Amino acid sequence: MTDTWWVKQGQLDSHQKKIFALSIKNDYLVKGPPGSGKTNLLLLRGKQLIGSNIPDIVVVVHTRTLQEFIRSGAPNYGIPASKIVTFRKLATDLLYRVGASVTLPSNFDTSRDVLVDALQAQIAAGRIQQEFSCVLVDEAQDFLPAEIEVLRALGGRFFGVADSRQKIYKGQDSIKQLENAVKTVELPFHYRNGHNICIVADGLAKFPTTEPTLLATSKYPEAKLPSTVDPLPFSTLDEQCDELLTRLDTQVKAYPGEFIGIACPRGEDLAIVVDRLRNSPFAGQLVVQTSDEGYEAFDPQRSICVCKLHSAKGLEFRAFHILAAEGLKKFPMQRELTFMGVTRAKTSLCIYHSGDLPSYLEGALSKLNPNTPVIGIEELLDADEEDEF
Amino acid sequence: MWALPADRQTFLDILGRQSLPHLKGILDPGRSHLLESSAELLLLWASEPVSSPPGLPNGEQLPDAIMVRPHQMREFIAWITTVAGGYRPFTAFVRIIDPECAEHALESKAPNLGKLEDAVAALIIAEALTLSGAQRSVSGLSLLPCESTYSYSFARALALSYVHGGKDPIAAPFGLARKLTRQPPRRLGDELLSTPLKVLSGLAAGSTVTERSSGVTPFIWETCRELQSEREVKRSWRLLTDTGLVPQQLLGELRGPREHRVKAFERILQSPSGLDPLTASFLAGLLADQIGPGSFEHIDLLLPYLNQYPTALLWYGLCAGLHPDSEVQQIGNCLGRRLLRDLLTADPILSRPKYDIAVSELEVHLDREEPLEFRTASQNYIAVELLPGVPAYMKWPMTTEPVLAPSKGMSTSGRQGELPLQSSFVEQGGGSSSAERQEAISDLTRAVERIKLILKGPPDNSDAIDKGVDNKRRKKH
Repeated sequence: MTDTWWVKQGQLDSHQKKIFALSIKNDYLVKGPPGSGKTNLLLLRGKQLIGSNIPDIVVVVHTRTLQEFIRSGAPNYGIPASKIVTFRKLATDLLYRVGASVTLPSNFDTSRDVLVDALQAQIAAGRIQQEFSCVLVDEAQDFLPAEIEVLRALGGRFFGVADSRQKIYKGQDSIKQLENAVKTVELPFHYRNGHNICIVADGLAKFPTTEPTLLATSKYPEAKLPSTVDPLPFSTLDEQCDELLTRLDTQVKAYPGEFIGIACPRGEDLAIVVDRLRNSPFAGQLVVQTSDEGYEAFDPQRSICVCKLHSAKGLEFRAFHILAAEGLKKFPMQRELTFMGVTRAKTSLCIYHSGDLPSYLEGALSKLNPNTPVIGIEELLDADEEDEF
Repeated sequence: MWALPADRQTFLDILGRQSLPHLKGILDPGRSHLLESSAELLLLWASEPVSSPPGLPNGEQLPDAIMVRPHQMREFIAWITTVAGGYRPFTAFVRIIDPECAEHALESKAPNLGKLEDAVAALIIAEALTLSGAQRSVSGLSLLPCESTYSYSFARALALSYVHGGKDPIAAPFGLARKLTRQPPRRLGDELLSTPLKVLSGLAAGSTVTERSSGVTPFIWETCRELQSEREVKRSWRLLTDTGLVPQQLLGELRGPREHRVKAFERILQSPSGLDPLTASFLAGLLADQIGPGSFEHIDLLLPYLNQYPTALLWYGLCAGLHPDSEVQQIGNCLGRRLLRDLLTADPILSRPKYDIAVSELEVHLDREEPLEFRTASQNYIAVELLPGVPAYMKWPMTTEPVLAPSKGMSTSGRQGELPLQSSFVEQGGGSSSAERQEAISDLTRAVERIKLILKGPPDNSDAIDKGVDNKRRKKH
């Protein structure tokens, strides 16, 4: 039984209940580790506002895949899917409406700057004003400070959720700016990641030393649902896919009704994996989310999601497979990207690779076996052969 | 409770709303000594029937139940369905019960399943899924197919405290109702269902049912008890591995990651175990449960093996429901919770029946050449009351295929040995005394004589029927 979306009082801990009790008349930023329930609380806030006769709200996310994922859970909260949009969609629609459409460059970072500049200009000119009673922002750490500024101008109230450790895009960190402007509330515990996954994630995170680890703050039911992390080296991506298909066969039986995720850091690797999956018995169960092929609604009947690792942000899966993981080394902020990727898995994480893994990931994976004895000369060197004497 | 010892005439007067003089004799029996009354009938009310104030027409004073001796039951029902045609089926309005049920009414307790609520709900859902053919999914299952199962009727009997000493009180009436309504053969026969139900009733009774008397193996008993009390299989596992037919390390695999548990499950089920069929089916259900203990979400894993292990799904449901933290009530959009709501709904014996007809009356209506017609709440289903408060839902109307008459040994409640109501009934003399038969024949003779007299004699009043007869006679002359 999936536990991704929760809507009952008994499913909230005391910290989460306190956030739900915050006044709807103030601005807030909620911070917490992956799996601490931030997105659920965001949607509950939206439900509360709509139920309180404040229907003109918008939930803003950074990626299209996350938009589709949250839309799949929105009916549980009575929030219309149309109220969940990406920043890009929201911005281009607003600019179009005031007759100030812009042509966006293909470069992702540049296009963000162009879009936010255009919006700020229209707001300064008074052509775009407060559009919503409240703007709710998921994964707020991924928005640029200027984007957050625009979003705050568009809403009478602001409610954001964030985790600085999961920031995977370049650009200034907007969290400090937000913390100075609005009241910040922290969620100490998380429920998503099994203990072995926490150990690897803790090995990846660049925490200040005073921060508690994910393992220390985990409320995951490890005894009931033991977690696993499997590094899986293979000679080729094709062999990785063979192993993936074998594991999927067991996992769809072991976790009925639960989402299983498959991701690659690089688009070219993902294309090969998608091709193999489409020619497999799991073809009918795939939801492929890529910018090349488009995005589709999440569907409980199709429980295997395939996307680029960046697009997995904000999602969670009972079992998560990262293929061609050596591709991580090609990206800026790769350590954060890896942390984000690892923490998508609730119970089972498989990391496949055909080249060397980044050293920080190798180091993090080694934490799974902390008591491995130092090997001696017998294991290091072959025994001397008699004929040498 | 209020009671009135009565004969049939008194009852007919009450039925005709001429109750005032008779109701003066009504008593509050307090305890059960009144049940020993020698009167032919004992009319029972939950609360004191009050006569209408003077000047107003008498209201309906029908009792909530009528107690009849078992040997008179069938004949009484045949009589009441004849004289009370305005109340058809009669048992849709008034319960007709035997003294045992009447005692039950005196000790009326709220329906209760104790710690077995989840196990009961899961067993019902599992039976419905087993019977549902190719499209087996909890999400596609509605309430009615679940409430049409044998397990549902049994569970209701269990909740209402009809199950004692490991005996199944609904076996006979359920079979009779199915036969009378010409239901198709059941995919899960009584012999397959009986063992899980024995375990259920044994667990409900605590330690009063022993393994020896139940015929259930110690491994199954102990495992179910451990699941219920300790949430996991521990000591009982040795009862299985000591046979050498199942490896000891399998239990370790079932404690590992779920993927490992699935692999272990498939490996065991795909290889012949040498276990007896009952233990093998139980093991299949237990192993499926151990993949996600108490979750009841691995039904699909068992489906390929149902031909090999036809009761595996039942055992899976039972095992999943025995976990103290079972999630059974929430599955299928709270299907389990809805079932329990209905199972635990209060339905005192001394209250108006809520179903279409009692099985004892169904027998009278249908076990004849021209079955009597009667109304049901649904056009597709009939709700037959097997015991007071215990329904069985069956497809309706019945098919046109011929149905065999109930065998002599088949009774309506397991406590009464009724015989078919046709010529053999009188010939075999199993249902009424010769004095009663003689009295009935005299009544009929008197009635025939009176009709002859009316037809022959001059009109003594001016009612329409006699006028009509007179006119005809005049024309004839």
